[in-house]
Amino acid sequence: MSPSAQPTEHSAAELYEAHHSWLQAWLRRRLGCRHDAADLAHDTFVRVLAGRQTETIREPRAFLTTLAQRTLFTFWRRRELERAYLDSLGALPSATVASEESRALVIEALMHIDRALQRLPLKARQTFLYSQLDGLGYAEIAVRVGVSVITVRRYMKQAITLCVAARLDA
Amino acid sequence: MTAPLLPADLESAVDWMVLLSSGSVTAADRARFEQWRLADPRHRAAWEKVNAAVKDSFAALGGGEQRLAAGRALLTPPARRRMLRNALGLALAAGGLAALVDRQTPLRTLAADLRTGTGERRAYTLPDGSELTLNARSAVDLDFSAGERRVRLKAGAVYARVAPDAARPFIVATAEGEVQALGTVFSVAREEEACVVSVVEHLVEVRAGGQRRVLRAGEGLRFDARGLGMPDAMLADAAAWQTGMLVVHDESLGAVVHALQPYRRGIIRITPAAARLRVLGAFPLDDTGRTLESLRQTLPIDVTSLGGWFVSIDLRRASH
Repeated sequence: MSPSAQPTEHSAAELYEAHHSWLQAWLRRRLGCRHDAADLAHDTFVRVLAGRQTETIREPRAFLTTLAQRTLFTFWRRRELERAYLDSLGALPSATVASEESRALVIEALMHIDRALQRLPLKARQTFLYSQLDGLGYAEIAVRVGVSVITVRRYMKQAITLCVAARLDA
Repeated sequence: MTAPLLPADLESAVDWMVLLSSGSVTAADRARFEQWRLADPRHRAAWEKVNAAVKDSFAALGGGEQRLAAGRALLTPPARRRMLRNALGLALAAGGLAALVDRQTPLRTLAADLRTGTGERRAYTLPDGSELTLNARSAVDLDFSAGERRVRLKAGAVYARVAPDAARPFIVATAEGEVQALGTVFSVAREEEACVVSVVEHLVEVRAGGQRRVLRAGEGLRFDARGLGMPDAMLADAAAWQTGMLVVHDESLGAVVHALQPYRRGIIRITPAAARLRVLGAFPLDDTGRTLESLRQTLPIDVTSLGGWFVSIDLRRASH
């Protein structure tokens, strides 16, 4: 048994001190916006603190980049969902004007579902939404999605399992 | 997609929800569902949990047209997710390159399951520097704290090369018992209702059913919830999967097929008579076609393949 190299000690504060401006510059190159980069650098450090494992980080910048990519992904995905939601709201005949606050709540809920179903293929996602939002039966869904009823069942099981798993993790 | 593993009650509740959402539920289905639900308070609790997990997710979307608009937004394909996920996936798949993974594995992985799919064997470097290889179709939860490093083996098998840390014992736990590293390389594999531990280097302590025993390199033993079996050098070879080989000394053909199944997308069905045949040898796991062929050549069996997806094994008929 050989003694292992001791990982470098990092407190979250030291990590912040040493790498915050580097991370912000890194994010800015990807976002092209200083304000967004500052927000996302902040969010990334919130994730670092939530992990509470800072003392075992060996490659701080690789680690921060990984977390920052997740933050970036969440940021982009939220923007996509928000845009898609506002577009489909706008396309409604009787355009209801939702308040800023209720819109934010809906987008939060969308992010939550989106995250839970992240690993689901698009057809399975369609299946689940037809069932949950449109209340369609499996025979009808099978025709619309272009798969067999057995596949619809399998998709439903995957989707519900992911929802339950997301709740167990929460 | 591999769905996560749920506890059995929850999985049954999910199955019921799949059935009840079909739009063509019969009165008999409903009666069977009620019977299941009322049979056990745990069933009721599981049903409520599953119901809430689905309904609550959609409740916040509002009602009517607003709800449909929100639902349509969810069908927006993620523009950049694929790219990021692939980058992460590649980094993890390159698990053998410990240095790279060490740099790329986010510590968040600690809170998440590691799992492998069919035919996929993968090495992960854990943030403490230990290396964990998952056999095909295996799943573990990592639970690392200041006091201990606990790996919960939920399915399949793991091979661990443990980084020394006297302050934090490294434990592989299963439903049946647990195995603690005493500075070590070892493997733990789940079977139907038992586990096999094989020690490759140094020592481990195995604990199950109130018994405990220290095993040394070259030994293996089988344990279940009732306690420990006798140490057996033959079982030490059970860890050979880590190098891509299945090594058996006088095992049943049924057990061999069971070990091959995680490496094959299709189904292998074997008749009870053929499953009782005894097998001796070393077989490549990554080429199950070749392994089945060499079994066919050495044993009195017929191996019939239907479209590559379904393989049936039976005793060779007399006419051959």
